[in-house]
Amino acid sequence: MRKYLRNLIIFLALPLITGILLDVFISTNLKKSLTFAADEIPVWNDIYNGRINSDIIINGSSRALVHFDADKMSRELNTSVYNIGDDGNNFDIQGLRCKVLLKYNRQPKVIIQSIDLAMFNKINYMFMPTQILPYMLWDWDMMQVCKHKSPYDAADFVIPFKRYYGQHDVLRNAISIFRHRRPEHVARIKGYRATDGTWEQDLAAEKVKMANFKFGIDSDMVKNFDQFIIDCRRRNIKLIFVNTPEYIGGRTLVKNRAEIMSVFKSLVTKYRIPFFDYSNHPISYNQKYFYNTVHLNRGGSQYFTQNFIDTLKKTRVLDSLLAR
Amino acid sequence: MLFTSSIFLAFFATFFLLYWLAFKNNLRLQNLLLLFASYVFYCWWDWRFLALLAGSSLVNFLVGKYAYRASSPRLKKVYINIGIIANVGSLLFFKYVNFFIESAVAILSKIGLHADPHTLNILLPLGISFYTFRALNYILDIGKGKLEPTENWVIFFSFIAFFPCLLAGPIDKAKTLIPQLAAKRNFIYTEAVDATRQILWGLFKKSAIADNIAFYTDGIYKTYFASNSSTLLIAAILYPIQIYADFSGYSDIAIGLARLLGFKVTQNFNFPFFAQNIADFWRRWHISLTKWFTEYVFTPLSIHFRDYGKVGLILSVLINLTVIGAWHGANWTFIIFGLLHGLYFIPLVLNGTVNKTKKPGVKNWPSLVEFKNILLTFCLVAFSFIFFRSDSIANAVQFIHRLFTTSLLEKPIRLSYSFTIFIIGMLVLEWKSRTYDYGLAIVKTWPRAAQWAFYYFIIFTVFFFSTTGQNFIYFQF
Repeated sequence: MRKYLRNLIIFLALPLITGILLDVFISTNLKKSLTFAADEIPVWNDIYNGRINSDIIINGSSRALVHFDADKMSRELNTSVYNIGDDGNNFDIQGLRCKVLLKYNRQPKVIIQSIDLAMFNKINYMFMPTQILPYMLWDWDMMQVCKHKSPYDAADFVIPFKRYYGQHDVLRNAISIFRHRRPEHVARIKGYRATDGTWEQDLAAEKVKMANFKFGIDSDMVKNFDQFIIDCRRRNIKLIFVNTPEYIGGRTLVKNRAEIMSVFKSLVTKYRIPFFDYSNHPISYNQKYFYNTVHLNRGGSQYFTQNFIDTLKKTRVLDSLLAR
Repeated sequence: MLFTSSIFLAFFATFFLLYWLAFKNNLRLQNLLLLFASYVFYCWWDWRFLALLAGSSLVNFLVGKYAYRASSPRLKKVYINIGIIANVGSLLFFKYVNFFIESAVAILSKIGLHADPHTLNILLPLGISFYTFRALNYILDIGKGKLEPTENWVIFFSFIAFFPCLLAGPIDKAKTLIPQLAAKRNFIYTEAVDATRQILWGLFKKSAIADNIAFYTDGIYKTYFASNSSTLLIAAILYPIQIYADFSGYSDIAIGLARLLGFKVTQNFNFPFFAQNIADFWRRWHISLTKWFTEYVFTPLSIHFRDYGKVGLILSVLINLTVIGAWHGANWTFIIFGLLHGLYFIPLVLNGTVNKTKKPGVKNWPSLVEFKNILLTFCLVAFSFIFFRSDSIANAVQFIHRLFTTSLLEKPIRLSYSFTIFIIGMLVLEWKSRTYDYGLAIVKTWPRAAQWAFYYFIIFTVFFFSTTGQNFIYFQF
């Protein structure tokens, strides 16, 4: 028995050591990628390496990611702006991103929170989970948020190499990056990613499919969001809420839209947060600016960003917030 | 708690250390620990059916005891029949009651009578087909006077719930496993090393091959109506390999775990894809189940029909294999699967080759004739598995219909190179190991450095090519 255990330990020592070295190899190389995990890596790199240091941060989901041209905003508002919008994830991950950003970067003066109907919808999986692979080991903030989200569990954040279980594509990517074989282009500029394309959604089919569709409103997530607002106020970070354009034809798809919006509106009233609602803006009535009901294409996002910049300038919201 | 999950690894490592280090010198405590671990393992899947498992164990324990002590053969028969009814009844209730109701309604509607179907919302208790067959074997063997019942309830309950084999077999006989539970187990180093090797091979087949093939076959079977014939052909070829890699992989892990605990359990597969004909295939496929049915269904039937010569034998084979098909689940597809295999036997019965067993040769490669026989047998098996895999007979018929169109010459779905290499590698290694009990056994004859290098290759392949959360196919039966 003892001989068996001793020899088993000796036998497993090599794969264990190799596993740890492979963890370092894969993580290091993935961090070099500009395109891995739907272009999220450069943003996480900027966050973790303290390279954001911007006065204005745009936070939210894919609607933030593809709607706010941070570079354009930087130029026209004459201040630094960075977009940390994260595709497909609700406020769990959005809040996490802000938390990590505040830990490793200079505190921003303003956070523009892009709101959307799925923000409080509790999901037990992570969208594009590979985006956190190179960073998650021993990151306790990340563990708190993601340990219950499929495909991860707490052990993935604690045991080296375990999170790469079954990830042969990730290994292949890491080797390919190491050998510089994959041509990469910069898709995100200051976090913003323009999406080319025209309308691609079959609205009639969507209406049938989503006949009774509702997004969840998880009370814990609303509480977390409330706490996020309180934390920002405590740190003297000003908040602006924006409901970016939604195509008018898809407005009725989510049946509890009014209920979700009322949550945001109550927070706006409670904390006197400036709120810009583009749901009735002329852009929301023009299909050519959208590729689906909730996402603007490149042309649409440029139009929206310019309009938003003009509104900020005209209303002098930024000036008044920063003067408080 | 899948055998391939990290939680099982932690569970087994803890159990293993307690079993051999803390309780080694006390057999009763060791068996109690085994029973406790088996129940924890079962509850991890679904605690709601633990009462059924324990209740079934209690009923069979008492029936066995009282049947053996019965004062007359008549009373003994009564007890045995109670045992049979309890076991078969629970199996029929949990597994087939809705199937019977739905089938009856369908038949009535065919003859113009409309019935209001009222099916029950019954969940299938995990492993019921396996532990019930183990219990039935115990009762039937006591009835035949082949077995003395155990007086020790811990031993009997552990026999029924023995966790390495609880969910999908092998279905070990009471006279094989109970004496091992009653005797002191010794840790034998060489046996443990070989068991670890067998587990590694099982993990490879399950994780690197079966689960990755499932990615293709699940997709193709779901959208068979939109796939071209060449792609359907790929699915038809891959599915038997998937189910073999999945089930024999599970069996290798189960047998390996049992061996690590000092038990020798029945071999469940003997390289079935190298079978020379369909009878040979069934001597190599799911051996513990086939043996069970041979003893309790086929043999009594063939004795019953012995006056009818070859017709009687064919009838026995047809009934036996149809029942084996039905054992898999409440669906006509499984019955057709079994019936097809029964039909495949007819030429062998007629030309008298059904019982001819060819010992595995030691040649490097099969001869042309052997290769032809292997290929033909595989084609027959693959065809039957179309029914096995399809959701309904109508789907299977449409699948087969679409299989033979001109699009057979079109480009099929592209398979990943790595999986193709894994499949070929598995078949080659199993051919080389065919005189052993499992596919990786040949490696022990290699030089030490080559052995270790190969083990490491397998470990890393399993690690990187696993897919999370894929259940074993036979758990649903």
